[in-house]
Amino acid sequence: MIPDFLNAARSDARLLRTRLDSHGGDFAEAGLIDVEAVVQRGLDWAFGSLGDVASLHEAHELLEGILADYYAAILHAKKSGRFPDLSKPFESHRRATNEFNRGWPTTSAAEEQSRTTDMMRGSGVGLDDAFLGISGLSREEWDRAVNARRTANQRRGQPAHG
Amino acid sequence: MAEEPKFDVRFHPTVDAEIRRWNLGTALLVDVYLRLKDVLPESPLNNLIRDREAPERGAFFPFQLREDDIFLHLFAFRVIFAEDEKTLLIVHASYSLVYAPLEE
Repeated sequence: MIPDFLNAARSDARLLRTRLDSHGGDFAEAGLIDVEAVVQRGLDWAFGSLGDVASLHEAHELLEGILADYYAAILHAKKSGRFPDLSKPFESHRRATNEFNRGWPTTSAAEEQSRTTDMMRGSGVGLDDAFLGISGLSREEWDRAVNARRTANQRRGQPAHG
Repeated sequence: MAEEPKFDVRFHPTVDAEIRRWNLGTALLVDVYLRLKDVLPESPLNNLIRDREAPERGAFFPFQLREDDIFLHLFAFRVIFAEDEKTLLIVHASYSLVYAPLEE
């Protein structure tokens, strides 16, 4: 079930975009939508909703819409020439988008289906090769780091810190 | 009770790119690897959160790691069961850094 604040933010973002598109609004209205706060609240909710995949996909779509409308509002404001400094809303949108893309536990439903289909057809990489490549270390250095960590965790009786 | 078979874990190629963008240090990266390599495949049923209404929608492998007394690293890997029922397919990886100081 989608939380009320996300539906409310979706309506606010749509309204902001429409007003600026018709040159009737003031960009100060952007203050009505704190996109960074909306994304943060969304992430908090998402981590408590991992057992409800359909709602996570639906909320993902809502947040994409909120960010898209907010960005469109910035572009409308720029085009109007009435707002000399749009750096704050632009920066706020950039940070919110990064947090959303990095932290949301799902992609869109369509993208997820596409990736799943790829993997069912045999696409994919194994853990060992993937992490070795990500680490940027030589195989010896990586193995040494992994073994040292395993030993330390076993001494403490746990698989990894945390 | 029969022993649960150990699962193989594989990434979609885009997941590799997602993790690279996190820019984790080696120690934290090793801990993430060990969770996926040692913890998840040993007992997926105990470690995964599956969809409440439709288990075929897949599951999540969430965990958190504390690097110091100030910040908490939250991870969630989106997991789909392969048709061979022995492989866990990871189709998305997410990460958030949360300010969560330890109370004295």
